[in-house]
Amino acid sequence: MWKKALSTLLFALSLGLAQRTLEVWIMPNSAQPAEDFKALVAPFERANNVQVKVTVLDWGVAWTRITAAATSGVGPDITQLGTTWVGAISAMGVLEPLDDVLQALGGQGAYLPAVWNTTRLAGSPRATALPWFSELRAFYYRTDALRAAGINPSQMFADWQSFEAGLARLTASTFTDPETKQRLAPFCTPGKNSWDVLHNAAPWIWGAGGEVVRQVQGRWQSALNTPESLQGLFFFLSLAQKGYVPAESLEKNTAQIEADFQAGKCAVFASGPWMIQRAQVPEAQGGFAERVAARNLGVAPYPIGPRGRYTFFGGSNLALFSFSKNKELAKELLKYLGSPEAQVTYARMSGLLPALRTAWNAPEIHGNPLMRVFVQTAQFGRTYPSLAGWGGVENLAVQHLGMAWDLVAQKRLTQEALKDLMDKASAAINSALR
Amino acid sequence: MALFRFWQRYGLAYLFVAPALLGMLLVHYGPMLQGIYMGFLDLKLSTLRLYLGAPFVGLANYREILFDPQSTFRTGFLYAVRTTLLYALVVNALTLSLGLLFAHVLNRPLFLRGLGRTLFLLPWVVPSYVVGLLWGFMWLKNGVINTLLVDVLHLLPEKPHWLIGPLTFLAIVLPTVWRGWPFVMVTYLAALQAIPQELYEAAKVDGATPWQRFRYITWPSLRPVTAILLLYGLLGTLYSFNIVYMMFGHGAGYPGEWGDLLMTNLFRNTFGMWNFGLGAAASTLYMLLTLVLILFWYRAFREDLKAR
Repeated sequence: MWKKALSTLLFALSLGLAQRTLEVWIMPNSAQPAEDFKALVAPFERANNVQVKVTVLDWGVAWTRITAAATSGVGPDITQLGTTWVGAISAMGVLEPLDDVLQALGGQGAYLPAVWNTTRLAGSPRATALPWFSELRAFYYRTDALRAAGINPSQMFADWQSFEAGLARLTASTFTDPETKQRLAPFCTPGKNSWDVLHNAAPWIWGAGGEVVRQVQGRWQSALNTPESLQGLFFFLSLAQKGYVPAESLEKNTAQIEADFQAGKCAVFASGPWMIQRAQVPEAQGGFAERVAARNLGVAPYPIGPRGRYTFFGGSNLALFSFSKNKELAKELLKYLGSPEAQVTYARMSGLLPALRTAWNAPEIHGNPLMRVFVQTAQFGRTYPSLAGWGGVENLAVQHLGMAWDLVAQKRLTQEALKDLMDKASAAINSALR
Repeated sequence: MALFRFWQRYGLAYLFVAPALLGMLLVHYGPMLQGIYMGFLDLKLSTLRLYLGAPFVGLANYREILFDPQSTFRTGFLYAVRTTLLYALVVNALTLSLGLLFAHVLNRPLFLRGLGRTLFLLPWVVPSYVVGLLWGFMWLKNGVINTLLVDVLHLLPEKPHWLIGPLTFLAIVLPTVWRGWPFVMVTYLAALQAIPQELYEAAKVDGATPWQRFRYITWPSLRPVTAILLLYGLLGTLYSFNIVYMMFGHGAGYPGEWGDLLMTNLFRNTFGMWNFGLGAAASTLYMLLTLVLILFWYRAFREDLKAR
């Protein structure tokens, strides 16, 4: 009897010793981030006799934890990186090249150019990050509110002029939300108290032909004070000053604006693809399926500006630390997570868009008319350059855009005041990029 | 011989103090010295892996902060200095005045005095980051404060923006005072109760007015505790961070010219810009500035702090 027990114990121990462990850090990308990720990697664990340990880092602490791991050499095998962080962490020289992983998944042609740019430090021949999922912006609108105002959505979101004209018609409309019995604000957008101040402004800057930073004689410089950037910024900010954006929105953050739209307070607002999934999930599980807004949800791309149609393209990539003890196995996990099947599964869990283009043909995405708009919008997606010092650029841009939003809230924004602020922002950014 | 006698007399006491001293050296002075040293290094994201082995640049970081007009560290710095000094002045004046006033009120035999003390103390037990978060919601244009002021009490013609523009200053001062005065009140209350009643009785017999009793008995007795409360308050307000950080988009947003304090400015310019050498140098400068203020404080209250 005891011999049988001993042999069973030894067998279990040998299995335990043979089983390898991979550690992965992710951020809260879905409603139940740890459970969802464990379910996602379960087939890989079974096939490779490996245990994947997942740690969920809140976005607020993720940067500090990841840089601490990079500095100390103590951390996970694989970590999720926001696309704008790839340049900085790559510049630290702590990431393993992933060209072979990307090649196995189809290479450059498998991704949109905007996504491919986020795989490395700008100008580097070596890829250090695998695109995982994309976060891009489009406009959500209330179909019932637009219908009541006599607005054709495809016309309203055609170009900047028709967009403003549509907002003017929504302002004049007497439509009230059936639940709240209140009139809807034409356009809700957060002001300065939001983590994505620059992401909200960037599509308008690009649409006017401007840029956040540009290369001049091989050196990166701020372009926020160019006439094109100022034109785009002024158009966007002046929509609020003209009264299309409710004054109270300017003090709120992105989550509060999303909540306002869900609660039936806004006719139009910009957000990412996750809202589509939330519209199908009951409130008890973090969605808003019961609300009128969910039953009257429409999606449209950003309107065409004087120099084209653009949207902000963000999201997250996966990177392998060079201090990992299981590099080959970790690369296998990356190949698995980058595969079309895993990409679609995770998109279903998170409501985000897969980074791999072929995954967009899945029925969950292609068969959903709202998600299809995001796929179309992705063609106009644009990313920030993957610079080592991007954090500083964004920090200074956000600070000065915040001051511009202050002027908007006080109805004191003029083209001269905006130029003055963006001149200051550019001087500071250029100094940071020295 | 003298050393032996000294050891014989005080040795045991030093042995008892040694663990605490060692702990303080390790936990307090170690990191502080390391921070000061970091101010002499070119420590940024690209050199972060080297940590204390990052290139030594001498006083370059200090030169940049103090004399380089192009330095990104100067962005919003003067506004932050002005707002922090005003914030420290207004917050401490209000917390000390309110604390003293309510301590006097609660030092009398009132009905349900114990319950009153407990209720007044409640804001003090709320963590400062929760205070920032809650008041951030309350200050919203359609928040509870504007509803009360405009819709219920009709004190203002329209709802103002508390989190944008100059009113931001009030929006950060009031929650700090709300959270800070109960501690001042309870400290003053304890000090008031320690003043011998005989002094007041003798003064009454001599015909002293209530103001004279306060001026010549209460206030001199409260000066030592006022000194400590002022020091505590000054340090708290000069290094204040949580309330502003939480109130404006959890650090994501720029609090504006009237909301940005030295610490939030330092945080943004260090961790937002990924420039830790400059940040460490600026922290050292702030520490020196605070030490100068403490020197003034010590000169003002030196006599009150002498052991009696």
